[in-house]
Amino acid sequence: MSEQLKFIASMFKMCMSEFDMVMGPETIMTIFRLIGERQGEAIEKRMREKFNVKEWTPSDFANYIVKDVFEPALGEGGAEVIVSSDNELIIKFKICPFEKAGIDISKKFYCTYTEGLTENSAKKAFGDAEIISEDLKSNGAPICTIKIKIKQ
Amino acid sequence: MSLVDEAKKVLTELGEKVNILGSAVIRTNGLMIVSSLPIESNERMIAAMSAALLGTSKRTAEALFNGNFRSLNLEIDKGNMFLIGAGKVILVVLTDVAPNVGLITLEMESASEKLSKIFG
Repeated sequence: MSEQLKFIASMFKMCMSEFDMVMGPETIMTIFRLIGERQGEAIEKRMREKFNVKEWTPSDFANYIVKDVFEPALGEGGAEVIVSSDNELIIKFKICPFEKAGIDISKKFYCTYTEGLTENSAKKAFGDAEIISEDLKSNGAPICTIKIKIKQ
Repeated sequence: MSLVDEAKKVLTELGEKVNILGSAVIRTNGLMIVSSLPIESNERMIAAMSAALLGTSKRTAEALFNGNFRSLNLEIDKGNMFLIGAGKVILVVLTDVAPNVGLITLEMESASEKLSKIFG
């Protein structure tokens, strides 16, 4: 990590610590959830336009979100999306970018960002979708696994 | 009966006991579970702001008296908002400008105990 990035990561850690002390974890988790939801909406729109998608299928959604969103952020192989049936997506994140930046993830502040992004992008693509289970690195799991049910 | 239906029942019973304009059950991460807020409300943002109010109120309670947050009454020129923590969820109630604070607080405490049990 460059010195500049180290400085920004350090500032980010200090900001989160102060936000937590002043406003509490509920506030931080809510803000990250909202950011994730907005990102999810924007991501779905961007992919639909970029790949000229008329109607999403779970497998197209899985392929494009890995290629266009997760891999640029996490590196190749950093995430995979499995279509377990016509109505379920299993998203596996092998790398947490926050943890990689040396940020303490045990308070689960940043998990709500990922939840909001994955759930809302699927909602926008398929009309309705919700997270039905998750297993998170912040809870001690080796990787983050988020299962999303598509309700069509 | 689903958890959502049980929460709806708690809100309905609360509305029968006290004069309220709307109510909602919200997760502490700012997601709406059940609501009967006035139609013009932006539910998503109300849910997010309620979680933020709970977080800030808890921290203020600790800083002021080293105490534990119990409830919040937000007085607004056009009505009031009451907020109480209920374990993993938050109960929010909207009233007119001149509510019976004692009765509402009492009934909200009772409703929050029920919600705490419902959502574990």
